[in-house]
Amino acid sequence: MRSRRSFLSPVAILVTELLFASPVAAGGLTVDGLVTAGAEISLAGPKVELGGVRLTLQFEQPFSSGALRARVEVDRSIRLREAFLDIYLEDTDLRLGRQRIPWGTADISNPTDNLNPVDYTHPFAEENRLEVLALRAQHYWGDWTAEFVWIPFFVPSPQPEPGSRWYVPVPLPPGFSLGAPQEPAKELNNSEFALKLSRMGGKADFSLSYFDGWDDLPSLHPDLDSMTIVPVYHRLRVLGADFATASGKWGFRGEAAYFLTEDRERTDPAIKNPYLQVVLGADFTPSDAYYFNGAVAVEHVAKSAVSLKGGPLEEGTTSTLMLTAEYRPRFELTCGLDCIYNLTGRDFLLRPRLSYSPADGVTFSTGLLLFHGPAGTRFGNFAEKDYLYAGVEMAF
Amino acid sequence: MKKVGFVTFSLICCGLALALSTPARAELSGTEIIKRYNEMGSVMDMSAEIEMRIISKSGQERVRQLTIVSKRGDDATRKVLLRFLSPADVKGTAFLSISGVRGEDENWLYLPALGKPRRIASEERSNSFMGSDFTYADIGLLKIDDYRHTLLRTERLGNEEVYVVESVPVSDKVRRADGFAKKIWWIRKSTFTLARAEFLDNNGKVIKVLTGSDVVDLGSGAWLSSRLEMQNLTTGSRTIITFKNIKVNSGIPDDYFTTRELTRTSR
Repeated sequence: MRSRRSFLSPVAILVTELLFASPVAAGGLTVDGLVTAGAEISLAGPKVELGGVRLTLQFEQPFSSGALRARVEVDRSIRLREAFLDIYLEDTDLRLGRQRIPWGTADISNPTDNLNPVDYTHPFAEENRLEVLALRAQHYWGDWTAEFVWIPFFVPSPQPEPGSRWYVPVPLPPGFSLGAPQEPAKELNNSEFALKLSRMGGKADFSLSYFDGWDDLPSLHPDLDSMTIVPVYHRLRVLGADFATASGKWGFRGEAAYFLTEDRERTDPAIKNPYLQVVLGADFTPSDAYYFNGAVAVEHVAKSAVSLKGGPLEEGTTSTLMLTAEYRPRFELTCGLDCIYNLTGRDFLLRPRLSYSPADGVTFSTGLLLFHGPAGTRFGNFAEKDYLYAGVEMAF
Repeated sequence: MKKVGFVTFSLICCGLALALSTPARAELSGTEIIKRYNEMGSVMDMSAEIEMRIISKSGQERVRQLTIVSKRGDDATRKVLLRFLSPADVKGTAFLSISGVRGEDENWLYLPALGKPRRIASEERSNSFMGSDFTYADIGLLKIDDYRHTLLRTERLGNEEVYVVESVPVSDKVRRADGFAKKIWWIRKSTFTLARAEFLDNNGKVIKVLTGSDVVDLGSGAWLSSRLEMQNLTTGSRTIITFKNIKVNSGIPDDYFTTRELTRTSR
């Protein structure tokens, strides 16, 4: 989060300069908005937490060969979520500025989506990726697209503060405390880049990708001199592939990514060994009223070259099942049930939900988030944090 | 991710709405009349703004505004790009459909919140289009060979001469897919545009009535029923589609119908 403020200034300057420097406007400035308000009730407490009111404003200023776009969130603070310039050349599109670059074709889990950090302070929010300052270039020929992304400054994934709802204590050896994280210096040498070659059309869409950057999550290194556990960010390279196809009422999607961590020799117990993630899924729409989506995610972590008895990191294979079912008895009413079940840890998240749209642009929603599982598992860590939420959205 | 109820809207312009043609010189068979109605005449591409008003039995109204750009290829391909302008919660949503070139239709949906095109399955033809009283079968391009077309008679409807044609699905599969057992058309003789259509169920009961009006001359012998109203006699609701700012044969390039264009939130 500390880096966000430093990104605002250059982006703001760029946006301002371009606004005044674009002599050929293709249309007027448009402003769209969304007001959301909600509350959450902890089922363990019970304790009511008002979410407050949030205003989201989206600005768009098109011009002859591109557009300027920005998105701002206003509640107790003002956050610039996106601000970028689109330039449309004959066969190439450029996007420069603070942006989200979503890669991958699968639903719920995208192993190839590694360009934007995850906001772990809101791990179950629908939009939990943070935008970054980046240059994105896409070159098109026929059904093919070659893409290059450059992220000059690494942004780590924000972690929940101790005492906050989603904080999970880091297991520390006796006598140790948690040290300050060591992030890569903000130098161009430490910038991230990615390449993707994709084809959209024909029987199936598919892509191959490569990412060379940093792991958004730190590894924990013991420092015996200071008796601290130091979170250290490491280089990460990812080879990815995805596909999507459809037949009749069915859609099929899949992604795979091989994560080449810094511990290629698999000898450092603090750094995760290289690992492979695969997601395969399908969706089915039998009629207006029903929609089903299911996927299986598998992660395989390479076995260590040395004995890691008592070591902190996992090895082997873990599997997760993800299911969604929706029933829409009327156009304005949707009932849904989402489930993520970790087959390995036997922990799960269950989310029944309901949304109702009495008029265009207005949606009421409510639902439950239910966590279950042994302590130390992904959802078992939140077993006492079930909650009910309710909210309203008004778009204008 | 939830799939929004869009579809092969290949469409409004290609199918019911854009009934373009030239006047008949001789008595035609039922199949020839439907072909003339269904084809787009000399129109190779079209762009328009569409207003869709969905009115419930109780009178509650929802309004959607879209732009549509479509193109017919020499190789029987049809490409359509739809973009929602309003209401605010669906603004920027776009849909691309390419049919007739590589077998099964290729469909992509772009949701601004998702930020990337998503390939989606072809919808069931009898599903509702965007919660309206039109189904995908209603607004899609009619597959001529899926029906037996019989000219029942010619008559006057209001102050216009019309052909009355009956279309019956050739198989149970088509019948189930389209959701009706028979359709009767009233096609204007002068312009081959749709004046009225009735949809009948297996018991011969009329379940929906479609009315086409406000015929406009687009030039080059092309005509358009620019207002379509579908009444659902079962639910009591109705949907009105109106075309505005129609442009034809403006030379829309093929590369407009790509996922690249789909992701541009306006233009």
